[in-house]
Amino acid sequence: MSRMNEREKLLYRVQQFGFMTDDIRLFLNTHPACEEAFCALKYFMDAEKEAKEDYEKRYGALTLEGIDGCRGYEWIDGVWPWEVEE
Amino acid sequence: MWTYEKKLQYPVKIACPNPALAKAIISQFGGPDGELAASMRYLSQRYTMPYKEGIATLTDVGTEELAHMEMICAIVHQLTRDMTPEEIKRHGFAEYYVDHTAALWPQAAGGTPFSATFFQSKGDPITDLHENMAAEQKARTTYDNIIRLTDDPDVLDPIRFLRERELVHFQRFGETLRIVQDRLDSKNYYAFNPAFDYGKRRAEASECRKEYRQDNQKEQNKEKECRPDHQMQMHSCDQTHTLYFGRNAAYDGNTGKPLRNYR
Ligand SMILES: [Fe+2]
Repeated sequence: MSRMNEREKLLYRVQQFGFMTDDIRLFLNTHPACEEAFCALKYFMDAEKEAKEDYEKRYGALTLEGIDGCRGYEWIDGVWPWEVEE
Repeated sequence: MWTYEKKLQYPVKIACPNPALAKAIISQFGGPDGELAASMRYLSQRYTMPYKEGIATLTDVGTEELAHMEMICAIVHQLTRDMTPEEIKRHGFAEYYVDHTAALWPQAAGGTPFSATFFQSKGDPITDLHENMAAEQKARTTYDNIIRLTDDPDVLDPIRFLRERELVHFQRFGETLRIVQDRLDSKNYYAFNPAFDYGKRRAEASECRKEYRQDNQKEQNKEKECRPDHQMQMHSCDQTHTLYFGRNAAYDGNTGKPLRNYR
């Protein structure tokens, strides 16, 4: 965590909330009637969306929907997930 | 369909390359208990899964395994970046390097290429779910073995995350198995395969299979002539439970002949 740069810290928030939605979703698949889990899913989905927008404002699109109209086609730019920044 | 998100499910950031370790970890890309096999297993099985909880579980776990495959590839890629020929020789990486340089190619640690024989898609939810639960445990053991091979915290962190996910997937497949068994006859789960026998029943009732049914009827009539006990095998699926035992009692398992005619 300490070795993370500013970009990675913002991305980590997306990864944390994204992981919560991934995990709760798996739980709901076998417990579809659990209201508590469903509320938690909605909460973390919103949080993930917000974190994505924060990241995309500064570092570019994570998905095609994240492309900022004013900045042009930025999908090919930025750091790909397996790359280590120098 | 699938869309791509430009992020890993969990961060991978490795400071020190280590080609020897990469050669072991690549097994979780293309090896017998690796993430590629896991993903293909679940994404292949889901088409014949008869229950919605199971379909959703196979789809979402199969998708998550693709994200795990990407994490493993990122680990291998970062462990093999900026190598010198001397390092390649010293780390025992020459055999891999000569065929693939520093590219990612799905193989087991011992060099065996990825193969569809690493997984099964059997078309019976009880069988498939047991396969999946065993697969998650085998992947967990592989991660435990990898953890014993290194003390690099940059590698251990994402590997521990992946190991943890195998346990969660094992749990979810166990729950799916319970859901499937709850919908079957608890006296004999195997009497009826919900992934096949419902379809068989629908086919037998469908208008577009009329011709097939008539042919089938002719076959059955023929059978009737030479096998007076035919009734025993003609029950509908609902009665499979009793039929199952009935057939065993009435027919010789080796020859299929009615027992009372059997000498
Ligand atoms: Fe898994």
